Amino acid sequence: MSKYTYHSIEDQDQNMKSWFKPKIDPKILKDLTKRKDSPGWINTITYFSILIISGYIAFLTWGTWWALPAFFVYGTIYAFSNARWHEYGHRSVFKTRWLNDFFYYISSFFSYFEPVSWRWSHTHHHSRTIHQEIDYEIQVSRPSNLLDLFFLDLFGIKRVFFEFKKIFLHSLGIMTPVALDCVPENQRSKMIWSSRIFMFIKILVIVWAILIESFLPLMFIVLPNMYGSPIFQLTTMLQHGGLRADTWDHRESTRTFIVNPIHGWLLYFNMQYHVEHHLFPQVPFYNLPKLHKAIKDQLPQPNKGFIRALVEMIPAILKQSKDPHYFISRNLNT
Amino acid sequence: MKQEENNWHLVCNEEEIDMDDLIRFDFENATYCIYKISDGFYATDGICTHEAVHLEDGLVMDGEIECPMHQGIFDIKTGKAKSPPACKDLNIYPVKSEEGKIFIQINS
Repeated sequence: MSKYTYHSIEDQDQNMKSWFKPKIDPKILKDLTKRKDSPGWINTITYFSILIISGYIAFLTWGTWWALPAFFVYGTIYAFSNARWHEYGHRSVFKTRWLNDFFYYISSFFSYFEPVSWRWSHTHHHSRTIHQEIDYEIQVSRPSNLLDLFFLDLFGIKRVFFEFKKIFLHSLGIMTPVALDCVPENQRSKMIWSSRIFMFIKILVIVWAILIESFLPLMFIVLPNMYGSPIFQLTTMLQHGGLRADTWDHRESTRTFIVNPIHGWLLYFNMQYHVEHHLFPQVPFYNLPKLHKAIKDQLPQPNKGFIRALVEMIPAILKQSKDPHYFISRNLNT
Repeated sequence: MKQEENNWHLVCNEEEIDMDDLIRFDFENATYCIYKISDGFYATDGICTHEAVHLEDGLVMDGEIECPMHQGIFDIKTGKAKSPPACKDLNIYPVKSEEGKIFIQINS
């Protein structure tokens, strides 16, 4: 457990230790950090194209049994918008800064995140990665809650409910612990108004569904974060699941795994290189494979494949449900 | 000119800083960043005002410095915080170039 008490964003320099950093030539790091617009556009256009095409196919199948696989595909692609929220939030996808912010707001809406509070809580996640009772983005608690992880979270039920409640409270000006701990006071009015706009749009979608007497608007806009969420949830669970908490070395708390380009580059914005992302958050998604090559001799071996990574993680999470101190130990002398 | 005259301190030779890049300069328990951008040399505090993170690995682009940890953005010429999570401005410092050498003025 952490040895200090967290008070507020203004005091967060207190007891801040240095994270482990691998050795890398500063010139190489600077080159990897440089931004371009074209990789971001190629990825963004491809993603939204397949989202629209799969959504159109799902629309055509509505009312038939084909709707089940069609909406599963659409929902899965939609749920991965969460990875977009993350990467645009780091402002590293595009060189043109306003494009990052524009797509950040769009993907925040898609993934049911209020953008102001989440920008702040995510900075917090990078400062205190998997430090219990401090990091608000811990997916696998200690001890792990198997019902949450493999049912309520797997289908996004808890997350969507929690986000809805948080946005609702913030829209009324009631501060939740996340807001109090992560969002500075002078940013809270922005968060309150952003929450009100989000609430208004969500209510509009629900009213639309009622007026046309159809579930379709909800199937396309609100519910994909639930029915389409299992593959995405398992993918993000791999980021830190089963690994060590309360460490100042991302190699111990974070996992890199290798997947195919559709899963990794297209849907997940290369966040499978998660150790590398936490070590150098300024490096854009399209340079993470190069960063991986540059520092891999200082990192634990990545899991080769999505299934292999799950095979490593799930038994560890099962053990953590009974023994909260258990974690997969990483060989750092690679 | 003496290096320490009027609190001017030698940082480095001009060619040691690439265009659109920076160099870190530590002096009396404080850290500064000296930048080379298209219209000259500039200097700011070397630590992000959001958290105690060194800006030396940050990205210099379009006259701004982006913090490497949380991507807060500051204007290099004015030190102004332009994008969250950076909210507090950086201090800026006079910089001059003489005979190919860069100096920063620090009033300690």
